[in-house]
Amino acid sequence: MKHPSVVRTDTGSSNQQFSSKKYLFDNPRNIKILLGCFYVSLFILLIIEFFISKHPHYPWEAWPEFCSIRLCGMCCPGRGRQIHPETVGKKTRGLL
Amino acid sequence: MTDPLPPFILFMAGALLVPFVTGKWKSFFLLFIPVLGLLNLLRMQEGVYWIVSFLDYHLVLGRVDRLSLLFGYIFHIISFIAILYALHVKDDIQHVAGLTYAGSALGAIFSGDLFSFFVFWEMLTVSSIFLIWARRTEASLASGFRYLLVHAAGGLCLLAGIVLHVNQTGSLSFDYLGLNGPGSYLIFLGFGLNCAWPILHPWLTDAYPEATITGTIFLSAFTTKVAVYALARAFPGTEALIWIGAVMTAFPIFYAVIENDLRRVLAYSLINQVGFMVCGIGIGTALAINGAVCHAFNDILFKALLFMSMGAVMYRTGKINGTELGGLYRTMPLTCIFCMVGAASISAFPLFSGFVSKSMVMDAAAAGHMRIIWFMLLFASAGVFHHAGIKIPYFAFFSHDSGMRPREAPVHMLLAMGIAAFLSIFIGVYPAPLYSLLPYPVDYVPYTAPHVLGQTQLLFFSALAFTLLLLSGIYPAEMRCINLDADWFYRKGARLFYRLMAKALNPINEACEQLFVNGFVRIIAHLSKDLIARLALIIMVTFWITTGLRGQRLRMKKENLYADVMAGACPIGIGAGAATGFLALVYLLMY
Amino acid sequence: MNLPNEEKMELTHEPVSGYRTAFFIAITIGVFYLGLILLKTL
Repeated sequence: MKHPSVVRTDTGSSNQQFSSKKYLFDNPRNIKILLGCFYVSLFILLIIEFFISKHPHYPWEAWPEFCSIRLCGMCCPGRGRQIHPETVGKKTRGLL
Repeated sequence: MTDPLPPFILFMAGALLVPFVTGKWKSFFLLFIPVLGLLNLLRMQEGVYWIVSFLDYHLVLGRVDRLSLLFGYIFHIISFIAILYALHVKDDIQHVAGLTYAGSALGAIFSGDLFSFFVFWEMLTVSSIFLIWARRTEASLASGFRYLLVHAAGGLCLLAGIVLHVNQTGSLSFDYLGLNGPGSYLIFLGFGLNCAWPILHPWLTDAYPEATITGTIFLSAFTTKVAVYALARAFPGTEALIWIGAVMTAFPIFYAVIENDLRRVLAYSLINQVGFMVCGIGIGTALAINGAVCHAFNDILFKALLFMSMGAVMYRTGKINGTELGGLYRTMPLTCIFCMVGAASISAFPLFSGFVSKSMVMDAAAAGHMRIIWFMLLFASAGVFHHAGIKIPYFAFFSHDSGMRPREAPVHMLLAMGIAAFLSIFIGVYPAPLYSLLPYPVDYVPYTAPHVLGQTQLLFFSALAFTLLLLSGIYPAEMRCINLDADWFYRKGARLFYRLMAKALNPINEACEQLFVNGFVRIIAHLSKDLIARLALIIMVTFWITTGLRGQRLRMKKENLYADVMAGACPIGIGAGAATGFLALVYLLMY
Repeated sequence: MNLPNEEKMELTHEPVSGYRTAFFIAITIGVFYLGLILLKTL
């Protein structure tokens, strides 16, 4: 049961009204421009480091591009134990 | 001019009056409460106020110092924002619960003794439950009960700790406690439960996403932050907190990345951010405590902003799963911008609030030569950007086109989000006013070229990681799934405990029933019925037989004697005697 | 475009050609360089 004042769905008829309108990222060219700007920013960030003196706490921070290379830590998206609601009661009975 | 009032009084009194104020004045009345409260708070000077005698103790309802004042300011600000955001709500229960909840949080942080702190701590639990139940769904009802049970256990733990501590030290004062006895460990654990420490955390990710849209804003601000305040007050510099905090920053990332419910993603990121605070409190230096408290202040704002933006999406679309949303930037551009401000703040982008506080904790860890902790915090900094900084705005407002074209959020919601966004940027750009409020003098400059560059590199290259993962198809798919968390151990563990107890205790129960109910009590009942008559018969029949009495006469005499004794007062006396004997036996067994 | 009320069970992310290679190259370089830094400094 949902409280009527809490959740309201404003889709439906308004969907027709907006469906033909084009928005910023509906044009693939704009996405390419955005990605291009992003890659250029990354390049600038890589270069600019050589012009800034560092005050590292640890010796590894003094190495060039250490901050950039830390992205490796983020390339390990985990996958925990996920259960589809449909399978509950079958093979996953023991887990829930 | 009158003296300032205890801050909680205004909120509690306001909550009581809410049902009696109707019409368009209600909105003004609701907004007036935190404004009046803040004006009241601004007049307070540091010191100890409102001392009440209770038994042999003095309860302090107003211990005002820099730490409590800072939390007091932010609790008033966020109350105003949350009330503004909830102006469309016609359900008085939510308004009353929200105001009571805020008042309880204020009462807790200004308490100068453990007893009044405990009372307000419990009021926090009770009032917050109604923000969950007010959604009136089966899931929220069940979740609210789980929340109640967990917090009742935590409250009992805290109470037991306080009793032991007072028994040990004779003091009710709520100051530095440290880990120095069973009482302090129990208090520590009680605080930790509300702080959502690892393994103890599932109540948060279970309950917050099930609360009402507006209730979640209140919930995100108070319970965990009061626990952070309590740890900062009672356990600064406790080494265990460093590791607990570091684990808190890291583990939610793995759950948040695979979570489909975007409000639950935010709940995980809430634990992640509280981890930074707990870690800072554990480090315990002036810089670390300042960083922890400053981050609590900022986190309340940007986390509320993120929850508000997701709430606005939920309000307009009725959906909150990543699989169902997407492309909403088209028709909800302002909500999208506010969400991105919140995302930038939580990710600690330069010029946003997270940047000026999170780095204080990181620097304190580095200054303390805590290498592993520093690496964990670094991983968590990038991780929070991954799940809260990118995932939330991307899956709600960009990603695939869900086909939904909802209207922009209502004006009052936009205003509330706007205030939170403005404060997040203002603090990020000009942190000096916030720094001047921190508990210790601040000698920290966040905006140095290497720091800004390092953080920007970290975030931009984390964004690159996300982009590459997404475009290479390696990023985990969003799925409508049940993700197993540490609650699995509770559910399975509780079931196992129940079975073990049933197997171990039920046979004892049955044996006792056989022995006492079916055996002993029956014999007692039987004896108390005609014991004296039977004793009389034994004695008299022996006597009569020795005197030569036989046959019909003997039988008649026996019947007469039995009837006479049974008709007398003796049986009642025997029953009472047996009952007294039984009670005496029980008493002896007990002692 | 999907229908508004269609409930997706799974939202997969379709790979864009070339990005998988770019991802593995970036990761390989990053891991080796990070390993080198930590080897030299820890």
